[in-house]
This record gives sequence, structure tokens and C-alpha cells, in this order.
Amino acid sequence: MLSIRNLGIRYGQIDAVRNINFDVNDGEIVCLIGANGAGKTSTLCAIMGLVPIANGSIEFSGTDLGGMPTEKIVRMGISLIPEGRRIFSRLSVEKNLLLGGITIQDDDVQSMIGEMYSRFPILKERCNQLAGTLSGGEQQMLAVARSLMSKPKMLLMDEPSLGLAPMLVKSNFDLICRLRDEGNTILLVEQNVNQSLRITDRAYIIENGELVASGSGSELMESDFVRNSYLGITDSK
Amino acid sequence: MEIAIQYITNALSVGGTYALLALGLAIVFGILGFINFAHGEIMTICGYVLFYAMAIGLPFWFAIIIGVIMAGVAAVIMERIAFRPLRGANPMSLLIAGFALSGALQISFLVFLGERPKPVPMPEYFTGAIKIGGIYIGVVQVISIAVTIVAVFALNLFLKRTKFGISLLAAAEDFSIARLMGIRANAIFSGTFAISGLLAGIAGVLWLAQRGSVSYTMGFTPLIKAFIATIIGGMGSLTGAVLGGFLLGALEIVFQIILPSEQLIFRDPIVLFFLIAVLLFRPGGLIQEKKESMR
Repeated sequence: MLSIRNLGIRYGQIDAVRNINFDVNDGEIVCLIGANGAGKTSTLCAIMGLVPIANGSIEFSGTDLGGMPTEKIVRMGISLIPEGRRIFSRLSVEKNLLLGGITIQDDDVQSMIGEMYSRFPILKERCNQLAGTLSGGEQQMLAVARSLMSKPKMLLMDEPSLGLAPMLVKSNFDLICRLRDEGNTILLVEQNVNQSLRITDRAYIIENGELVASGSGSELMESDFVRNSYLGITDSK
Repeated sequence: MEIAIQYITNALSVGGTYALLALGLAIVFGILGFINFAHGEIMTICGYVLFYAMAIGLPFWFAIIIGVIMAGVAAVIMERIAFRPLRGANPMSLLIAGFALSGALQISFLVFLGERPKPVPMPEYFTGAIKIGGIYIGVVQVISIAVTIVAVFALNLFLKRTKFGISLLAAAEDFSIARLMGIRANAIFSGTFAISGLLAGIAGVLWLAQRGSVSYTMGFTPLIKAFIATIIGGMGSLTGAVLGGFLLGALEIVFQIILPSEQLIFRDPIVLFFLIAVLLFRPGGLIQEKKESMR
């Protein structure tokens, strides 16, 4: 569905991402893992057209996304849940959802909002409240619901568990699994390596803008490199 | 009592004109992050359109409608030609583009339309006074206040109730996230300038109604006043712009009254002194809005 070839992203003189290759197939969860500044968010921003790509290509369902404006990429069926949620805090919950559905038919908007309310009943209770007054967990739900409003073919999630209480982190990963089971395709960026590897179909590890390892979730869980560097497990042999 | 009410209506009508202009500046600043220094020239364009429309014999009200619409169109064209090519540039570049545009327009007015102010005669029923509860009040003042209230109310309704208005509010809060929703950036740019231009057009008509003629420098003073009002109100805040406009108008009328006539030339410096005092206590203006950086 999404295929990225030799992707390079440059900010001035600095290479943020160098020659990255990966694929996301229909119905998969694929996870990008890496430390702060490794280039994960840059990669997601490049897919959405928010930052220009320096070289390489990004293809979605056979269409080259290079140079396409963000609003057109959204209409192709990709939706990003940004890091830090970035809901419109000065607008009501319902207006946030309305904006999420700005690309779909007017007749569909109300039924989609209804669907989101039955999925997240707490949002219905808070529908007229300003989104900025929601708790962190509720804001996360709103961010997910807002993205789903556009009926995306593919969801990009940038560190959805960042800043959530441990209990909410668990329900957040449950939600991601549920979304996949419903047939969504998900590209997940996470720093919670342990949890991510458990749910992901495949994962790619990025260090300093380059891919250093890839494999299925369980393969990577077993690999010494990942266990030492990302899971903090040292085997005494 | 009668005098007091006349002064209050004066303050409200002057403040209302400033408020409409300041709203136009603030909506562009709030959404696109820069001050359009060619905003005053949109007013001037409205004035010239009004003059020529009446010169060819169009009825007064029809001329006003054309003038205001042309102000909106001029603002959209302005954005398309001068600001859109600079999208994503440093706000300083946009500021300078605005100054350049303002200068170029003023010189063009001077060269092509002449140096002499052109009279825009108001109909008689406009210049008279009406009696409300035994007190005479200028019709122009009453109309100015009413128009300001209607315009602010309509803008509020548009921003809160229509899909496009809500998109503009979203873009004001977080432009790149608004684009991630699929809101077209170009539509935001054009829409913002259209609203800003229409407000400048309405303010232009009110300004002319009190002064009676249009010249190539007409936009300069009101632009400065509106700029002051947006700073006092809080950059980018629409409510703040309206408050700032009315505060500025009220202070001007107050000092107009209490200063002896030989010291009236000190009115503006004294008003500015007061507004600087406001900023000492509230450096961000009366209403401060948190804003995500624009990408």
C-alpha cells in the first residue's frame, strides 16, 4: 500500500533521514522504532507532504506522493495523528470532529460523528466542551476519532502513548489492535518498544536517520541488538 | 447630559471604525502570522471605487455595495500577487512586501488618479441629526455604530457557524494541523484576505462618511490607528482587536474634550502614552492568545 524507496530528508545542511526503504502492506501494523531525533517524525511528515523530500520516492497505492500538497495527500486516504495530539483546543469536541471530516461528503459527516460517539462515548458527553479542557486520555481519543472521520485507508500515528498514564498506554495499544482488526492499515511510530513489538506485524529500527534493523515483531524481540539497545535486557551468558 | 451622550456616540462611532480595521489586521495576523501594512490602501481603493461609481451616476447605496465588494476583491488579488509567492517566508519578508505594496499603490493612486482629494458627497439624510428621546445625535454616528455591531456580529456568526469559518479558526490555532485535516491552504489564504478586505471596505465607507473625501494617502492614518488597536488588544485576538479599537476611539474623544484647544495637537501623543501604560501592565495586550507555530 505504502512503499518508501531511498527516502532522504534534509533540513539545511543536516541529513535528518538517509536512504530509508520500507513498505506497509494492506491491513498491517508496521512500526518505526528509534530514539529521539532518529528521523521517525520527519519520515511521517514527509509522507504527509509537510516537509519536502530531498531524494527517493514515496508511493501510496501506486501513486507518487512527491511534491503533492498535504491537503491532496489527505484526500488520497492517509491520515496522521500527530505527536502531542494537537487537537484544536479552542474549539469544541464536536467541531474538532467536524474538521476531521472536512474531506468527506456533507451527508456523511453526521453519521460519522455518531459512529465516533458510539466508539468513544465519553466524547459524546463532552461534545460541546472546549477540547482543551479534556484530560490527556480523552484528548488522545479525540485525536484518533478526528483522524478516523476522514475514513482513511491508512493511519499514521506519531507516538500515541507519549504522555499518557500507564493504564491509558495499555488501552491505547488495545485500541490500535482493534483498529487493525477492523481492517485499518497502521504505520506506528513509538518509543515504547516493548509494547509496540508485541502488537506489530513488522518493525523497522532507525538510528541517526538510517535503517539499522528490520523484521517481524517477534524476531526483533528475540534479537540481541534490540534486547540490548532498546529493551534494556542484557543476557548473562 | 445631552453633550455626554453626543460624546459617547462619537467615541463609539470612531472606535467602531478603528475596531473594524483592526479586525481586518488581526484576522490576517491570527491566521497567517504577519501584519499586512497595505491594509490601509484597501480602504483607499474602496474610497476611489465609491467616488467613481457615484461619478458615473450610480445610486449611493449601490455604490457602497460595489465599493465594499471591490475592497474584498482587491485584498484577494493583493494576497495572490504579493503574499502567496512568499508563503512560508520569514514574517519580516512579508512585512516588507506589505510596505512595498502600500508604497506602490499610493504612488499609483497619485500618478493615475491625481493628487487632489476627491469629494464623496454623502446624501442629506446621512449628514443630519436625529432626535432620540429628546437628544439630537448625528445620523452618521448612529449608522457607524449600527454597522459596526452588525459587522462584528456577522463575522462572529460566520466564524462559529459555517464550515469555512470553523476551518479558519482551526487554521488560526494550528495551521499545519488544519492542513492535515485536508483544509486547503490556498482557500484559507484567499478567504482570510477576502474577509479582511470586506472589513476594510466597510471601515473605509464609515471613514469617508465622517470626512467626505478620498485622497491617495487616505489609508495611512487609519492603518496606524488599527495597528495600535491590534497591539493593545493582543496580537491576533479578534475580540482584542475590537476592544482595542473602542479603547483607542474612547481615549481620543476623552482627550479631545478635556484638552484646551491650543493643546489639542498633543492629543495623539497623550493617547499613545496611556496605551503604552496599558502595555506596561499587560505586555501581550488586553487579550492574549496562545498560538502554535506555523509551519
